[in-house]
Amino acid sequence: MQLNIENGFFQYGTFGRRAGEGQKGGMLLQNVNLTCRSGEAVAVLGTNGAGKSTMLRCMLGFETWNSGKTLLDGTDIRLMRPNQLWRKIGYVPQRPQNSLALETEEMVLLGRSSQRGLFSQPSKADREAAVRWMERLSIRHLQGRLCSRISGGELQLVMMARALAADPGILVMDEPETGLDYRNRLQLLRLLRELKTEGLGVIFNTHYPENSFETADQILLMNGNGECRFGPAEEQLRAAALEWAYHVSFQTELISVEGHSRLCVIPYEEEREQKKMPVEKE
Amino acid sequence: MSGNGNERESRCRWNRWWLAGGITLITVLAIAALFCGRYQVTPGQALELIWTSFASGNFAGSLDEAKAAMVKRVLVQIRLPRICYCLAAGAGLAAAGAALQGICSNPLATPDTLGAANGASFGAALGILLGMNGFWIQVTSMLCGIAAVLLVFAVSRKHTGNPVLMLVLAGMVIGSFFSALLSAVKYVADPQDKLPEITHWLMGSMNAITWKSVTLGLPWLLTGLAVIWLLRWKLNAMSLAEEEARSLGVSTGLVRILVIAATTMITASVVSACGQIGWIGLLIPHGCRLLFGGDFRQLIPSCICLGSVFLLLVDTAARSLTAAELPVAILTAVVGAPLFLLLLLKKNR
Repeated sequence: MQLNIENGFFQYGTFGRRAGEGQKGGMLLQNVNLTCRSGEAVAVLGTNGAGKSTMLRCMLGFETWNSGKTLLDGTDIRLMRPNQLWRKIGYVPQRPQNSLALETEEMVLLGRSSQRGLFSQPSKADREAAVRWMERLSIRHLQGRLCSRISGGELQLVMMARALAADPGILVMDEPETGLDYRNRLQLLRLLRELKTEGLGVIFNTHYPENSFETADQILLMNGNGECRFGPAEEQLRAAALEWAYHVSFQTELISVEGHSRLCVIPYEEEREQKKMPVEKE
Repeated sequence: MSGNGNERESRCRWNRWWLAGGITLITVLAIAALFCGRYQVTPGQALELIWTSFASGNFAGSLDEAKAAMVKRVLVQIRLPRICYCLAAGAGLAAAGAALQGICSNPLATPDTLGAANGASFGAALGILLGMNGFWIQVTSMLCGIAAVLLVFAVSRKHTGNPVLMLVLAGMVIGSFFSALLSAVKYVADPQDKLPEITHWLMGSMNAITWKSVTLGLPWLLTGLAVIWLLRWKLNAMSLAEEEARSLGVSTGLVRILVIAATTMITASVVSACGQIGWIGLLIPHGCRLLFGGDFRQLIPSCICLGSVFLLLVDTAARSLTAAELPVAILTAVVGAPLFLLLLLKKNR
């Protein structure tokens, strides 16, 4: 399975106007290109407000690209029926806003909705799939607990199990490791790597370049001025590339921890001139 | 962990035993309710009546012909339709309340939230004002209820933002518009005969239920109930954030329309047949949620059972407690408000 974004342009609040015609400062996303294949992970990195989440929402069709498109195996996702689309893509949103009065198992079971018709009820096979994924993510012990009563790390895994319960080909996660402690974060990244080797395509947003090292194969850098660069992880995690995206000076070091090389990213100086200001008249 | 560990044990699970118990309870109460009321009828008389109707006309026992006709009329023409409609209305209102609370992500939503009850009340008052008979009052009322919700829906569609918020706001606005119209009808109504009739009707009472109103209202009510019943799993997804629900492959727009249509059918047919009966749509879903948790696959069946039991009990009390019949809506509120407070206190403990 392969997911592509081709020349995505997006700007808030310009209904009906063609992309590129607006004033440049207001353009949120320009010329986004991205490819994610099965067994590959793509990380999306960028400053606050660069539009990482917006990019994911456009990619999944929650917002409409002003121009450009998202293709899943060559088909524009706007032409796909929602059921078809969401069988192939699993989505883990940033954090739940509603009070979650459901038990964890029920929550995971909801991931099977796309497999079932409007009026149908989950079958035995659906329940088995839910339990299987809970076991796979080692959260079987949470069965019977309410989603509102478990920790943030546990909830993240429950929502991930829910997305995976549909057996999708691509998993999209919006800042999965934000707010998790070291142990949960390492566990999550290890899981992502394992799922990747099992043939899943993964796309995730993150604030931390370190977390994309070892996990991501490709990286989309967004610099906050609407510009995006997509490329292999080893190139995108160089200091110069990160400086372009974050407007800060960086030193990056590879250090060896128990035989594994780890990336160490140290930001050290705020750049004086954050953005190129538009030239004032006179 | 220790606190959360008990979470499961503190709640019950709606399973086949609860279902069997609920059905038995409803059956027993419904039969018992047949023999409650101002006119004394004993089960023996009823059995005799059934027996004689099979054995074609030989009155062997204590019943003479006039008495038998009276007993038959009370049981079959007055109490039976009333009990049937009570069960269906209680179940419908409770399920509609639960479903609307689900799609509005708002625990205070009730079957009246979208203006159906206000519209239907106005329609009924208009019917009374124009001197229609019972059947046409019911028809007018139902149509006005449906029209009110269609209006709400049309308004909320014009807005591109949060669809749920707009729905609730439009429901409030259209609802108060129709209650203003209702006041206008009351204002012009003849204070000697029409106004008391309107007021009494609005208070909600099941005493006007006949087989005719049952055949008119029940199909709508049961259709609405069936739709909610079938959508019960999808309602779980609807209580999540909009995009989260969509990402699970749920057509949120379609489910919302279906639930709104279903609750409107239920509310309009209840209000058109027996006036505004409040509290059931709020009290029963909250009680059930406390007992069985927030999973709609357990919530909807439990609401249907407990809702019908509650309304049957209250209505039976309303018609047998005092010499003159109490409007059932007064009793549901008098019983419902303290019970609801009790639930809230229990929930916060």
